[in-house]
Amino acid sequence: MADSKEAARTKRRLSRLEVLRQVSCTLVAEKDLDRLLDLIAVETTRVLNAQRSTIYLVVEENGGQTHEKRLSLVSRVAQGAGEISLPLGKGSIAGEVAASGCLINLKDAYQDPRFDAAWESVTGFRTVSMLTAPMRTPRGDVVGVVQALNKNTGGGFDSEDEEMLTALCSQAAMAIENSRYLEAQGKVFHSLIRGQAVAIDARDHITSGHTWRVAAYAVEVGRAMGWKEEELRILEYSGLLHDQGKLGIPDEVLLKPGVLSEWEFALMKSHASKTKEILEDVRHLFPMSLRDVPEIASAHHEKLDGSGYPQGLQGAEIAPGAKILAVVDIFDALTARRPYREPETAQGALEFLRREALGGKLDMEVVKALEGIMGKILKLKEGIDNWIRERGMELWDRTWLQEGEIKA
Amino acid sequence: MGDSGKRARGLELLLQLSLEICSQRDLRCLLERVWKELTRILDAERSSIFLLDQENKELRSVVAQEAQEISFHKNKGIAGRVLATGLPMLIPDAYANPHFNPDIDRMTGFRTRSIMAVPMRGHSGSVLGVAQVLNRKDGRPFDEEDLALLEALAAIASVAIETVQLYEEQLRATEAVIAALVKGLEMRTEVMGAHASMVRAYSTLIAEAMGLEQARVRVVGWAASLHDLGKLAVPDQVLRKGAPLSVTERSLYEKHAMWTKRLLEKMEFYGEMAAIAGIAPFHHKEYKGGGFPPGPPEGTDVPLEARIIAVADSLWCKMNPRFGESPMSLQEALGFLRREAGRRFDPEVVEVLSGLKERLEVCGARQAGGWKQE
Repeated sequence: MADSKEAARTKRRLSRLEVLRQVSCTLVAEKDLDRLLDLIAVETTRVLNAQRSTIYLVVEENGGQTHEKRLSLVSRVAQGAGEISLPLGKGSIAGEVAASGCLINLKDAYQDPRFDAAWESVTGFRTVSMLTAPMRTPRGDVVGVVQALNKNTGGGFDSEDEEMLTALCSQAAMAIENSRYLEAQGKVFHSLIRGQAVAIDARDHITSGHTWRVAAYAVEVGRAMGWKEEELRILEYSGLLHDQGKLGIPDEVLLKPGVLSEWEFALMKSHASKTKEILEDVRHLFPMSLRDVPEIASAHHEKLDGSGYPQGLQGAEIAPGAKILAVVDIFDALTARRPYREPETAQGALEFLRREALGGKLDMEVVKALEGIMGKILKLKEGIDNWIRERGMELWDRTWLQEGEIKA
Repeated sequence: MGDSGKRARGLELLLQLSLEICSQRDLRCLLERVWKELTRILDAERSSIFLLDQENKELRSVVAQEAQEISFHKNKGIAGRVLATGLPMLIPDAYANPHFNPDIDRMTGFRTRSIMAVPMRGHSGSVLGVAQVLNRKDGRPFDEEDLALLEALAAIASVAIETVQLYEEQLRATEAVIAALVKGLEMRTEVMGAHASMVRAYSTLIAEAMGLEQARVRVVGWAASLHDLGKLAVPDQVLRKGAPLSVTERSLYEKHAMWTKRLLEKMEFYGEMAAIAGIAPFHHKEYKGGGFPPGPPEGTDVPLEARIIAVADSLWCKMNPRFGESPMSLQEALGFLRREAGRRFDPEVVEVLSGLKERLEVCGARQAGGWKQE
């Protein structure tokens, strides 16, 4: 009798662990986080023999005018109930578990003073037993809570249930953390690279907005030429970094409000090799997918016939991305306002680019692609210029440029 | 032992890994332990995890049970095949399989017979590496049941490994951008690169000694690297002047803190890096109130991170003065900071710094002779 009871217990445990195994495999097979959470809720209900399970995620909410970030719990999967939103911390069982990171197991929720029955009238559900476990990531952050309600057999959830739910929660936590990481990854890189562009633009206010326009134009040209999203991202980053070397050009040349002398121009030209120097230096720290950026960014003054700089590369030696940058860089330089001359019209600039392409310096295909989307480019230009003006990307007044002031 | 016993032990191991993976600090140690237990349960001779090193196009063992670290070209052998196809493989006789690479056996003296290998996939879908088990001791080939267990363990391990990799990649990219900005500063005035890296080294030392948690120490380091970013906007004539500054020049010079603030605010960094905008600009604010840039935060409202950088910055500047003052020794500079503690500087930070004298000397030795006036 005792033996068969023991055998039944073992069998039950095995079948529960089998579920854990299946969920583990789903962890990497299921890319859609919502579906994965759905599955975890369904399996929690089934394995723990509960009536219902709810998954809450910790979300950041802006606290209105104060702009203070506030954490709260929002139900993502609530079988049979609409969305439930709870503050983190005291006031609810789930909130407390999320705040403390410790599991709470209640045989009768109504006997516990921490339980808030208010939601019951909304959902029409009558909670008796309740097992609530935190979803804690390997880095120690609680990203949410899983709650199983009403053990079907009565008598509440036991220690084996606690163990099982903890294991499921850890799987869910890892999945949530990774999908958030993946989502944030792109934003992090983007913000880092754009940060560089802010610095470049700040230093070179005469060509204010140039960096942003070149990056945006290059992406549009690339898209028109059928480039893949992945390649366009590399192109955008290369565009944002192409003038990085200007950080190292002395004021009297970089900020000279007029035409440069021959040696000043030579110094100015050194920005391309400086871009190369800076970016090659940090290239090993770039994600693998962005390792081509330094090469593309630093070759934006190379010409097909080998007459460009800094390396004098020719034809196929120049990366395709750099060929696009070369064209849009000149286009923007011509069509932007300078203190010492009026901007060229788009038609005039295109004519110049066509001549350069016929002369074997620029890639004609790129010039044609640019011409084909000129309407879009001009709209982009207007948008970026407005954005620069609104945000006041120019960081300091130029009064100190006037010689007298500094000597005073 | 019967098959059901083996299955039960395997599933218990899976439960154990699930429970520990989110609480164990040392992932490699945990995986080492679990894979060892896996070898025992499957009654096999060896199990390992190989991770893809994209840079060197290699598969490298990270878990290998007593064997030395092994690495080989990512296309080689059964593991290479699994990596390429993304499909698991059950090989009853390794030497009869055309994909098998006997070089490793030759190198290690191990004799491979049967192999079970599965891909390790991250949440992103890319294959991160390969998990494998070698040689079932009973001489039979690995079966579907064995495979089911290895796949589940590998899945959990993969997700955990991917998290670590994603995070490391993010840190590297952050360092890349900081290094590029510092290098840009350095190109205008040579000394700024050394300055940024030394202030970072000092600040990190202090932050660690004060017991700040790791993530916070990291942010202090980043903020210290970029605290003078605003000098991008200070005219060359001021920045490179090797003599005392005039009143106007001084006021232009002091504006760099405000420019650091405006630049960092406009940069809108996302994630952990975002915090530096609230720290780096305030390294010239004084403990008793005042300093620059004007405006809040004042005095003790200035974040501790910024108060740390203020002390580190001042220490370096006293030992390596610009604008024609004479340099102080470490001893003298510490004396200066102590005199100003409670007035310009946070006394607690200065106190901690004083206790680090010997470690500072090691830091200082590295820069000896590295500084020259332009």
